[in-house]
Amino acid sequence: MSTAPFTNLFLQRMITFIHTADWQLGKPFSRVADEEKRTALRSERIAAVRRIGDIARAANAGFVVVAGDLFDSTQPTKSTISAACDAIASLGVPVYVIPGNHDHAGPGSVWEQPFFVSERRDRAPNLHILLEAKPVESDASILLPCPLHRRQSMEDPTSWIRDLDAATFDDRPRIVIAHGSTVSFAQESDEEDGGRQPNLIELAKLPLAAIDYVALGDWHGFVQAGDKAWYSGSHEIDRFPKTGQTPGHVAVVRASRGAPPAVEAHATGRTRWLTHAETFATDTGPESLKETLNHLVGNTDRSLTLLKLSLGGSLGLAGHATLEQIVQSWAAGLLDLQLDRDVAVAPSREEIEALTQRAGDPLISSVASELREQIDRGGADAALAGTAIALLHEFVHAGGTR
Amino acid sequence: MRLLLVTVKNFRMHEDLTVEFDRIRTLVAGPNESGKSTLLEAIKRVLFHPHRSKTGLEEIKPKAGGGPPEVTLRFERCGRTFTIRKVFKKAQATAELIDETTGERFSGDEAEAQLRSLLALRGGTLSQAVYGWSHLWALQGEATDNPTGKDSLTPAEANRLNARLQSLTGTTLTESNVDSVTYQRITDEYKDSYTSKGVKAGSPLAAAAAELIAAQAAAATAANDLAELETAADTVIREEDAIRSLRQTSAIAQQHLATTLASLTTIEQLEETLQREKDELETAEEAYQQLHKGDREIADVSESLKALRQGFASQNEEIANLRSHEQRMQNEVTSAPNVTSRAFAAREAAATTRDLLSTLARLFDLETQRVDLETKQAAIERVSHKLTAIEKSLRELPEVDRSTISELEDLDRQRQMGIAKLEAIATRLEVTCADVAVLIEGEQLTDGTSRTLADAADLRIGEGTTIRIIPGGGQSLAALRVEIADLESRLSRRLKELGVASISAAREDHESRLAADVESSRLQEKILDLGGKHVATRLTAVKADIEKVEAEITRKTPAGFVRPTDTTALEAAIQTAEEGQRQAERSVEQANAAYDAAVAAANAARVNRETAEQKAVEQATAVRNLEIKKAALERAYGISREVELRRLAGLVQVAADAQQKTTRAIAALSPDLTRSDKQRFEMARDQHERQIKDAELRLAGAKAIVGKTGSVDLHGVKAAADARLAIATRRHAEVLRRAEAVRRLRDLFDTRRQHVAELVATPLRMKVAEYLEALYGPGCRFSITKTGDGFTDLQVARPSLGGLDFEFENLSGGTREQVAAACRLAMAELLAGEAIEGGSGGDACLPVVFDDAFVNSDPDRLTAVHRVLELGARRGLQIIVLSCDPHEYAFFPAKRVDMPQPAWGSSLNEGDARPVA
Repeated sequence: MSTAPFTNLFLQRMITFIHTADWQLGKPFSRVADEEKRTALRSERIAAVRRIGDIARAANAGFVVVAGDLFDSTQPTKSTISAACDAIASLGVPVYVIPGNHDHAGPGSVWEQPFFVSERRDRAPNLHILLEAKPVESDASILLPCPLHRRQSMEDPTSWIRDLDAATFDDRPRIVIAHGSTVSFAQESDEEDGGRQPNLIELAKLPLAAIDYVALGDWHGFVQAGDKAWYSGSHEIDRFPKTGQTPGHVAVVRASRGAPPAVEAHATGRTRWLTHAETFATDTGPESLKETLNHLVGNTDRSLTLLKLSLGGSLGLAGHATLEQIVQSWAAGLLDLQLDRDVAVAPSREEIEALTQRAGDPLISSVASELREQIDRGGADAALAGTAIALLHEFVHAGGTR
Repeated sequence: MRLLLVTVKNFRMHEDLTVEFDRIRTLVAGPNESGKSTLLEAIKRVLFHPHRSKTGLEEIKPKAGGGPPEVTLRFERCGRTFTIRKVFKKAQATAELIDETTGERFSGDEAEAQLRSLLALRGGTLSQAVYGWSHLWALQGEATDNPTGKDSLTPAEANRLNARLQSLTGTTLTESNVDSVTYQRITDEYKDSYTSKGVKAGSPLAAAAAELIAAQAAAATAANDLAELETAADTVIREEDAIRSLRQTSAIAQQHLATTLASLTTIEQLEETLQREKDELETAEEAYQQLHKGDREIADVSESLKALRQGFASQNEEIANLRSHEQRMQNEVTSAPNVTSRAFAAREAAATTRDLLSTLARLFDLETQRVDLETKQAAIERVSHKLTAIEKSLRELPEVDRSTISELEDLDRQRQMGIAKLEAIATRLEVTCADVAVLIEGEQLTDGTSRTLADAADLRIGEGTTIRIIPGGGQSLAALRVEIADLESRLSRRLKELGVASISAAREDHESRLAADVESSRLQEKILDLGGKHVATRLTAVKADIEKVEAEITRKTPAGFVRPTDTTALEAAIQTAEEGQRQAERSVEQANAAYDAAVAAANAARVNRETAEQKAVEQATAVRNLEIKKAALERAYGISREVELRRLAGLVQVAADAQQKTTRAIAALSPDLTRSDKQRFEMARDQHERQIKDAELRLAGAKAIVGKTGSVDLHGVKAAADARLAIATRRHAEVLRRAEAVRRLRDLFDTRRQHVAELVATPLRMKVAEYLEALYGPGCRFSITKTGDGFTDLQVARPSLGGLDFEFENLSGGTREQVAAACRLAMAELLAGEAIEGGSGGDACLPVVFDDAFVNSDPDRLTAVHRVLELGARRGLQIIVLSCDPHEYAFFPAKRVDMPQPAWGSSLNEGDARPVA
């Protein structure tokens, strides 16, 4: 995080504000099976908004810019709207917002809904929705909002600024607020439905000399996108980050007319999104996994941690039973466990023999032998036979017989 | 195990009965209710019931009182001989077992334990009955039951047989306790998920599947709702653009329409001018044409008038000719009647002559008739004279007819008969020789004299002899004489009445009378032939006619008429007259024809003349009419028609020129195209308006959808629904996988168990089949399925029935008892083998008992049954047959034991002798 030096000399010309984006309030987190945990995840996003207020106050920020996707949807529920308005009100400074692709200002958008309009007016008078692509002059700055009116627009939302006559503006810093992918990140758009290139922002085509900061939204990690352009990233993590991404931050921006902005990332996120992969080779694997997970999560509250766990390889019948136990414990304790389990049933020779060579139990031996032959033959049937032999193991050992 | 000797005391009806069994074949014979079944029950009780068992104790006590029931059985087991004695009594029951080989004695429970050990009976306490192989005994009334069925085989017996079968097929096949428990767990879980019909309702699998379906539906609904929202948002943008664009286009169309409308106004004005000009031209042309037409008409009328006048002159000449011709014809008609009158007169004269001649002919004819009639009249008179003479002679003869003669003859015959009778009665007295005086009625008869006596007479012979002779018995002679006298008197009186002397005279008179009658008839007939009375009448009439005809002729005869004198002349005259008549007729016809022709000619001439005159009148009228018409036309069209015609032609030309000019002006403005333009622009305008209205409607609809606010975030709902679907899919796959794995396990266990069960049942199948072949011949098949705790599906196939499998329950009673016997023998053989293995030395024998077990089998089949029993015996079994009809087992060489007569009469029925369960 680079910190531009500044002195009192520039104070009267310099402004400090918070650049944030992609709050995506009301995000359903549908992949989380547990309803309680989904609710918790949604609440964390509201709580993180309130924490922005602490940073704003600490940094003496004059206002907050939200570069799109304040809501996760164009039709957030009333409770989400109310919670959002309350949290925004708690920030205590003006909050300027443009619609992003998730909450675009197309027909029927949240922004024109009577409930939102009245809630904003009554609960969050400091909230300003910039629905038009035209300069907005605030006390200390000139905002150049690039709102989205459609989920996907093939037109560069900043194109209106290219022909802007900057001569009419005074020396207040000029801040572009936009939402979309920049050219530099075209190939790695963070949108989940990426691939095509809608809402493409061509930074190079902007009259950068006339602009002092470009506040970008859409990409969920904190990252500099150009000379004066930054993505603040999401204020609270909402997905398992790609390598190198730093979501869960806001940018504290100090900008002045004609000077490069000073941008600092401040952490606001509380949830942890961890990823781990393990391939089993022996039945001791599950025990070792248990230790690894303990180490990975450490002392952190498990209930604020989400884990994406990929398991592969193969385990014997006993190993499977142990693994199942571990998985169940972590699935319950974590905020979410996304399990990608592709562990083959590979009973050990001993395990199979323990079933097939039961001299006293001819029926079990004979069935187990038949299943072993089916497994050995391979094919689709082998998988079912594998499950069946594991079950047979389970049934034989249920109730503690032997 | 062999039963050797049994003694039963105080057991039901048996006070004290001892039966000794053959080691191999025993036939216990005895009538019904002699206690055979009770004997069997006693053996079962001593073997399988503990002495202290109170079960059925009351029933086995003797009805008549006495000591407690007691059974002593001597048997052989594995080469050793034992005696078991049990006294069944509530309080003081006892049991005693003696090993006769070793002399060891056991009593009480020890005896029971020892016995059970000997019989290898397992399970149950010492106070409970435990059966080992009682199913091998076909009890009375149960012979047709399936011996492998649940009702016949106790669980202990089934286990025992099963264990024996398993030991025969190998110990590895047995199912361990762990096997059973595991199988049960698998089955339980399988049944949690599946029923015989598929997935079980309410099971986790069904719930997962239901949740999957619900999640799919929810995801589809959510996607649809969201798509609807997004479509509506797109629609708002699209329709707003469309409306804007349409309004622009519509404005341009309106401008085009205004220009077109102006152009159309000009065209319409020109068209009005053109119409006016057309009207003017039409008027001018009409006036010209009218005058031109009148002129032509007048010329035509003048022409016709001229022609008519010429024709009229020639017509008058023709009429004059026709009049003179008509006059000539009239004259001819007037002269024709004279000729006709002459012809009529001639015809009249001829007819008169002919008529006169006909009258003459009638006269001639009448004359001839008169002559003929007069001749006949004379003949009749002659005959009438003769007739009168005959009738007179007839009146003089007496009135004797045929009946009168018969009456007289009858009377005479009766008289004759009376006399004959009298003579027949009369006695002839003849004195052939007399030495004394013979007097009859005082009249002496001498020798050679005779007398006929018709009346009673006294005959005096000699002096002292008087004989009264009474011919015919006496009285009748007198009566007969009276009758004869009466007849004679009646005959003479009748002759007097008739006036005849005798009967023969009467006969002659009668003959004469008949002849006269014949003659009279003949003469009368002749008179009739001649005509009788009619002749005179007709003669009178003919004469009168002659007079009338003569008068007529006189009256008709004209002067100078030569009257023919004979017939020939008359006929010639008639021919001549008829010829004259025909000629006169022809003249009349000719005259009439001539007259008719003249009248017709005259009429025709008159008609021709009148037609010609009529025609002349018509022509005159036509001429007059034309003259009037011509005058009228000339008045109407005037005299100076040529000048007027030229003026009108000039007017026509001027009007036509003006019209042409206007037409060109209109064409220059392309009125059709302009009108179609107007229509086109109007339609376009309407269409734009409609499109705008439609777009506005769609816009309103879409705005209504996107304007909906609420507590539902459709994006969120869709994401949630998708996630739910993913979870449900995963969950269902997991549950299904486990359920299928459980099913796989269950299938494998079932298959394995079935395989084992089949293997285990094999020795039994083979053994039974051997006995069945002894019964039904080779090719028999016996199948049975082993279940966990017994057997099921007993089926038999026999070659005689096409080798088809029959369920035991579907067999006939006879076949059931035979198959059951085969099963019992087979099971006995198998279980007997067990004894060898279990004991030392072993006897490989078990007693198999058949208590009246073949009552349904026919004699032929009984022979086969003997063979089967013998087969069992030869294979080492002890066969004991109880029968009320020992003759049926004549070919089964068994030791026969006869039951004693029932001790207590027959008050007990067989039901009392049923074994105690």
